[in-house]
Amino acid sequence: MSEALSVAPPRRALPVAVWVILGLLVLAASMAYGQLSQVLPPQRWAELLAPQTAPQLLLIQYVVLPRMCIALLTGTALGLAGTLFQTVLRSSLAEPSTLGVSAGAYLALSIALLYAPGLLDDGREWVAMAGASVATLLVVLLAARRGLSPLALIIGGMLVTLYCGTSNSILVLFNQEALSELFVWQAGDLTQIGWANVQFLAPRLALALLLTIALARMLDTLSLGDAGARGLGVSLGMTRVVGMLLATWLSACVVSSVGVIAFLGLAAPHLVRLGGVRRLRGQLLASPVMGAALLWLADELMRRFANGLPTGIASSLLGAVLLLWLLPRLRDTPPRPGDSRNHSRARALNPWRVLPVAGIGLVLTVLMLLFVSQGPQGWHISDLAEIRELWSLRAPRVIASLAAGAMLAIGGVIIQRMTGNPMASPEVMGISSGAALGVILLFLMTAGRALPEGAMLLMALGGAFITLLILLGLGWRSAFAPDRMLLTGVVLATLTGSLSAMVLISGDPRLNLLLSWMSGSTYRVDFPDAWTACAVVLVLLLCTPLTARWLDILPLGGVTAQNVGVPLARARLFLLLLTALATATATLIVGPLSFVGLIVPHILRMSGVRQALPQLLGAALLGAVVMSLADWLGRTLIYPWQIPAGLMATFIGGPYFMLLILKRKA
Amino acid sequence: MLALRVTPLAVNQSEHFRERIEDPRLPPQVLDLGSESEPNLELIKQLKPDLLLTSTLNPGQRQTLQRIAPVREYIWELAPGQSPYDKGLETLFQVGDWLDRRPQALTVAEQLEGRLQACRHRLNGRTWPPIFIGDLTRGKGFIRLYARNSILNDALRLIGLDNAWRGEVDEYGKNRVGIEQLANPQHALLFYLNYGKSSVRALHELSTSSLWNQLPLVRQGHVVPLPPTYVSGVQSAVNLAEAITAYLETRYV
Repeated sequence: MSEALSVAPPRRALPVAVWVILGLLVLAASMAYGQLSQVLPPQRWAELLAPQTAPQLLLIQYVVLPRMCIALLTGTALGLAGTLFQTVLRSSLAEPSTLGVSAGAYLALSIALLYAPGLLDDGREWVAMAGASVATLLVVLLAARRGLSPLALIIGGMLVTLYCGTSNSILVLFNQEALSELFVWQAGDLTQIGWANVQFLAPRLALALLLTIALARMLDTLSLGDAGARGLGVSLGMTRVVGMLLATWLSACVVSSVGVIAFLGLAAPHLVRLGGVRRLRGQLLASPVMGAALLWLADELMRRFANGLPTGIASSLLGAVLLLWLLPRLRDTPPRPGDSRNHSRARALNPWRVLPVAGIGLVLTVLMLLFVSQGPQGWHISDLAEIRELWSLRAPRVIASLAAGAMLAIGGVIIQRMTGNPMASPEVMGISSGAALGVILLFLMTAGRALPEGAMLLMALGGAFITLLILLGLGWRSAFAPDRMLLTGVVLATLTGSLSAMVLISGDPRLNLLLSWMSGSTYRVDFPDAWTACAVVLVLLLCTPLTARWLDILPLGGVTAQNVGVPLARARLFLLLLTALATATATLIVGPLSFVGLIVPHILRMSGVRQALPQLLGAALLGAVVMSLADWLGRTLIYPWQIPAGLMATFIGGPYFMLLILKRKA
Repeated sequence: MLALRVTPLAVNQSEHFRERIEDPRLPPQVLDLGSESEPNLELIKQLKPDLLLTSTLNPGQRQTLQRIAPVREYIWELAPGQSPYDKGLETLFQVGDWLDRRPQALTVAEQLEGRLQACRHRLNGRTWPPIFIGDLTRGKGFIRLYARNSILNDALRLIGLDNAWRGEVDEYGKNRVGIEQLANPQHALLFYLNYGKSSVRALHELSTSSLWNQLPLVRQGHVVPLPPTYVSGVQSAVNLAEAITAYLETRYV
């Protein structure tokens, strides 16, 4: 392999990356050596070649050694898959987990695990491949309208990942016994109990490497750009398709043998590039090795210092931190035409005529939510006696979900206008994740004890606010390049995911509480909570008219805004605070996922409401309706069981939003 | 409750209960309330129950339920020095008191004690191999072993058998350990709780692992299914003790 790939022109000195890789490998190898020789002195290692029965030797033969191999193989595969995706899609942010490929494969495997376990015996890889392919196809389809731009791809990937995650949570909800195994699996546990996985992965990886070598020349021309490649007479489309298939298949193989290991496919090629490997062929060679070295070291570290924690959690934690650090240092992807314009061709509506209609809609919805439901006698409309009986149980949930929807929608409008980015929203940009992160940290810090009153709200607020600061800090530096802001969101969402997986695996007795909250259940909401939420909505509604002028002007850009006399810094800080407040409170009620903050402002813009104030008011109304409908559906659809409102909103909102993107004029 | 011949109006996750537990059977007229962590409050309220039973396993649920009907919460955690089996008996008496069925609870306890004694008697006078009891889990080569602090461990102890797993346990009396731990002691037996389909799948998956197949107890065929049960009640503990006794008698005489 090295012969074919290293025909690069002679270099003056070895790139830094080579030394980094060597350093990582030496470190990992010495850790492994140290651990092995403690169990078994090196002079007895020859015994390992023969079958043994002593537990210690069994352990080394069937657990330790295969685990090492699987770490190396998986790392190699992910490094290669990442480089391939990045080359083929010309997006430096592409990798199995950001493209939704891993999530698709994982969802397919969970479905098979629960409903067609027989498929997993021989066809595990193909189940994963089917899921990964569907996900990839969907992402490409979503991005196709905008010429497969890196931004569009990442957004598509993120949507698919989010959606797969939601579907998975719903599966888990109905199969609670399989829950812990599913979580451990998803977390990328490298534990092995024999050589089966190695035997599975090794030949496939070898095949993929051979194919990559065969493709190397064509991939090289791909990196020259369309015109250059066409000049050389290479079929671009074919190369891209083959490259995509290869990378997808590799990712599927990895997911089907060890689960999702996020970010490695992103980190390895980036480190290689940062380390001075400029040519694609060099990258194709170095990234897999870098991936292998990184994962091996990560795994050794995990085994030594955090026994029992799946390595996937560590890798995504480390990867996320690394990415946050890398983000400002990334070389810019070629600038894309601004996305901030409103492409909708709908005629502008007179908003003051729409709002009363929306208001009446809200009232009607609320009445329906309160009165129509399932009971022991089936679907029915409650009479007043029944409402009186159930009022204290039903009303807080309806009120709280109304308020949460309104808050998310208002937060969405503000953030979209502030950044001039139509894809921004509290959920997508990770503000909700930040809030969730705050709460999870609280869980980790207070392990096993009761949660202090009010602490959840404070931590959520803090998390949301810090996230916003980070986002805006990055945004100011890169003039709000949507790429980076969205990526930060993805990173934060992953961080939240892995930290919550940590709580889940730790077997914390408050697990049910955390799970139900993360999935956006309004089950535990009582009147005081509901009224608090309403008070926040009220504050928001009172404050927003004051900010309407800023929000009208900010999308035109900072300079313009300053020219017409907007106090830029103060305006941004104030809006920031409002968004943090809205997001944190809403996240506490409906969890960190739900597309309401993204979709509702969209719908309004597409239906022609352009000014800030009516958009804010309309969004509040519509957001309230959407979220409370989700809550109602969750309460009634599978009565007496219940689906959390946040999950339900994502489940319905996701496809709707994808349709929206598909229909959008490029 | 079922041991006391009282049929509940409704329970959480009734399907799950029916699937897992053969004795006592949950009568078909018992309604389902939804998930364990989030039972449907509206339904509970409309059923107008006389009494709601919950446990400290679901923190905060008592407060929620109290708004609807009288609640009794049994304390799930063990008192210091208390064995899980004694805890189980205590819960039985407690529930007996709440339901006005103290005498029945006493009778049930006596019967159970008698059955345990019979087992002890049947096993007496011979040395038996140490025993692992666990749940097979899927996918990753782990097994959940029951040990100290679990009622199954008590069941073994009360009929005079040794638990082969002496390592750490969590507060549920279980521990998730790698299957390589089953290699020692070599003459041990593994009983697993048979949950039907999922256990069959798990066993099938394990059988593809070279490590599993190398384990002494696997090679000697010492892997034995037990009838499904919840691992908390005294009645299920005694049922399992009887199943284990019966197996040992037939295999080792």
